[in-house]
Amino acid sequence: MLKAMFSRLGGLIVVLFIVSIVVFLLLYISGGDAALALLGNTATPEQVAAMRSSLGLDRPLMVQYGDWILGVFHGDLGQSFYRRESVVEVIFSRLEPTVSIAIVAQLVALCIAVPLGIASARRVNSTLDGIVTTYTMIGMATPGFVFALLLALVFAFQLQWFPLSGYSPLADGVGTWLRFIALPAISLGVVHSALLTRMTRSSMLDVLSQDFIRTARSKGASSLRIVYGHALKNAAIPIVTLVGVGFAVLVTGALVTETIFNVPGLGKLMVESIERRDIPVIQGVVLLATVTFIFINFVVDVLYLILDPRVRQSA
Amino acid sequence: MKIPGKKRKLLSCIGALAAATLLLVGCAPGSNESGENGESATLTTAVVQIPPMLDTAMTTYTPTGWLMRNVVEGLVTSDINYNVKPMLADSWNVADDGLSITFTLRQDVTFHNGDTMDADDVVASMQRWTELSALGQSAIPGAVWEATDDNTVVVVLQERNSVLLQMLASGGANIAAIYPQEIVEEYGTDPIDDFVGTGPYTLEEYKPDEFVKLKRFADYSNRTEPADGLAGDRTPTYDEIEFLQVSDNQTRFGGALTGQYDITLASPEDYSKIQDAPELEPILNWVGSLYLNYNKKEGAMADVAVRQAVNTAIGSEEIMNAFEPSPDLYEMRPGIMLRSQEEQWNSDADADSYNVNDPELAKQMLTKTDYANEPVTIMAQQNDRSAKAAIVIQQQLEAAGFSIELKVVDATTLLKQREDPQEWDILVYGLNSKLEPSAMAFFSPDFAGWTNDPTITQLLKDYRGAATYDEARAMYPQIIEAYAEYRAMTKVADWTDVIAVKTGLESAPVHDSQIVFWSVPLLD
Repeated sequence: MLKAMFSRLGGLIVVLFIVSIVVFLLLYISGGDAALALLGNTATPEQVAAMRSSLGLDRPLMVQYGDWILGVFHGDLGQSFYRRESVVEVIFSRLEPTVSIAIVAQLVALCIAVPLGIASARRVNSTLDGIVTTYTMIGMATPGFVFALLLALVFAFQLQWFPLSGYSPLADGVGTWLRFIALPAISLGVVHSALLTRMTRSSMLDVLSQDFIRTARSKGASSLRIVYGHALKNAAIPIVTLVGVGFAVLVTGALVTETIFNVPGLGKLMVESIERRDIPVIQGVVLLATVTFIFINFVVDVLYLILDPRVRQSA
Repeated sequence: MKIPGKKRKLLSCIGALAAATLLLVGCAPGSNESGENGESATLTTAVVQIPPMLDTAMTTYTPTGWLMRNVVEGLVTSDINYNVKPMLADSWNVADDGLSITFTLRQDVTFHNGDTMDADDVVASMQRWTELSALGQSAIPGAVWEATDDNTVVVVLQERNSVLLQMLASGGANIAAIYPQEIVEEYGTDPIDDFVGTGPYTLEEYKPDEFVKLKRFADYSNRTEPADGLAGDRTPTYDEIEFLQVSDNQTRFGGALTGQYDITLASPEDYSKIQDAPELEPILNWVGSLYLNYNKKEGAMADVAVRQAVNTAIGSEEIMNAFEPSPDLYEMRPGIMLRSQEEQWNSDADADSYNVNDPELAKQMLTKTDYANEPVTIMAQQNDRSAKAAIVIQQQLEAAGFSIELKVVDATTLLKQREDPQEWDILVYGLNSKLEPSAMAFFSPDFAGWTNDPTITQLLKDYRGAATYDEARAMYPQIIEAYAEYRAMTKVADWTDVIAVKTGLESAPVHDSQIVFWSVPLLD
């Protein structure tokens, strides 16, 4: 099992290296100049040249990349061109809102998806199953930003129950924190719940038709025990996969949601940095996103091993 | 009545959800605007962007200027009619040969760090501004600032500049701000990020792309004259001002409607909604003009006759109507200065060649040039009004016989590509107004467009070298005439930003591209 885990970890480093080169080259060919973005519309060529030099943008491309990758190996992701802070500090200052929204959205999705998926699977072809199936189809077909705008229109704009934009840190109070992240988290969570519900339903249907469930029923096990004690554990692998991948999807979905709700998180940081060509920050965020994605996949793989003895056996 | 188990569970769930929602709603913070009962009064302003740099000498961003003019001050400033008025200098005297100006400084002006301003602070700050800022380099290259005593400073110029005081009075880009000497020396040619000024507000917190928080400076050394534009009394009405970056137009406007923001830089599309909303009032902020800038270095537009043909084809009203939802939001007038500056700068020297809108005449003019239907690239900025204008300009020029390629790019790419004469022929974009015409960037041979006309160069030299400011002003019609003959640019129209303010704040004064924040009235 350990060997399998280390083998996967080795592959991750190669992926990270390739991603960093691709992102760096993409930024280079996308045009634009951070020095011009800093100095504004009517800066003189001398000012721009001096700023380019002070930012290190006048060095050859390979030297810029080499310096950056060397820094990464030393735990230094460089300095933001705009914020005069290290990239690590910039990212940490924007991490809380994004992680908060992703976690709460995931909870919202799970709270909706697991009960609905199970109920739908237990009453297959019933009216409830029809309603749940329709819900999942609508949910998967609706872009996240549409739902976000609808929520904003009703609960922030019309009813004014929640603030339309902004973020309050958890340290300033749980209630205020929840008020600010409620709408973005619900909008992401509900949309994500559609796919999760569908997956839970189909996975449960598969398991509920297996022989060991029939055996359990014939032995007189209660319905609740069959569903929660036997079926759910066996149906969990695809659900866990989707929850893991979904976390990464929720983080990337934050690009749009954070813009709509003006939440100062990683998604918004990414958009702003791309607009300004703040290359060190873009590289840092992409690196973090890649590491997170890979780490989550790694955790999911480990959970497979724990949850399913067959996977453990083959590993 | 007995409720069955399943229904009871369902009702319990609904009840729990409702309770949680009410709890969250109940956590709403109260309003912080009134300033009553000893509470601090905070003015919340939603803007499109918090600038990436606040050093007014280094960046030419106008938003940096109007934000920082609350924090830092210069030697002089301007009143509502753009007359130069004293600020940190009490008076000044221009030498007979115009090659030096002596400023007598105010005494007992306190910096935010508690130090008293003296001539050494002014010399250090102004020398840095002269050498580092785009405006300083253009206005007084090689000038030397000297202190003759604690309260007197002299600037010795290489060349006379009759409009130097107007340049020093700028409350937009490149404010000639005074900082303590030690801060200037500490940062040198690096961007300052320790903003100790003498203004009515101190900079409490700054996060680029997020927010700026200003706090009333308790020991502010106020002037005694009544408030007038940026001049005179600057007693702040609010204890704190928050500028929040809210990039999305809809979110920003939604925040204005729900009362989250007191002042909101709105999108022109929201103008009628602001007029209809009882809780909001619009303020129009005339910031500048929409122009066609020509690449005079190479390509089809290097020929002045082709530029004149383009100018003849342009119809301003059709262009502005394509994207401005109301005629209130633009004004078609010749010249390069705004109506609010008419008292200082007035000329109809280019009236005949403005808004000609005659494609047939343009077609005829084009036949007399060497233009051989080669593609003309129009470049404009994505997600900007200029991009919509560019589409109409493309149609108008095609009707006049031009072959047009439209290129719309993001702001940063535009800034980069406009420096390359092979990337574009016509650049459609907005330029902010300046306090005097020679500060308009398009007159500079280094600025994109590369104006290079001996007549304009000589006129601008004579204008800056005029014996007095009034003599310089008298040359404005000649400059405009030369500008129109050379066709350095084509102005489409003056345009305005739309500011949504809470009802009760509509009397907030606007001057030099932005609201004068220290004079915003308190809400009842």
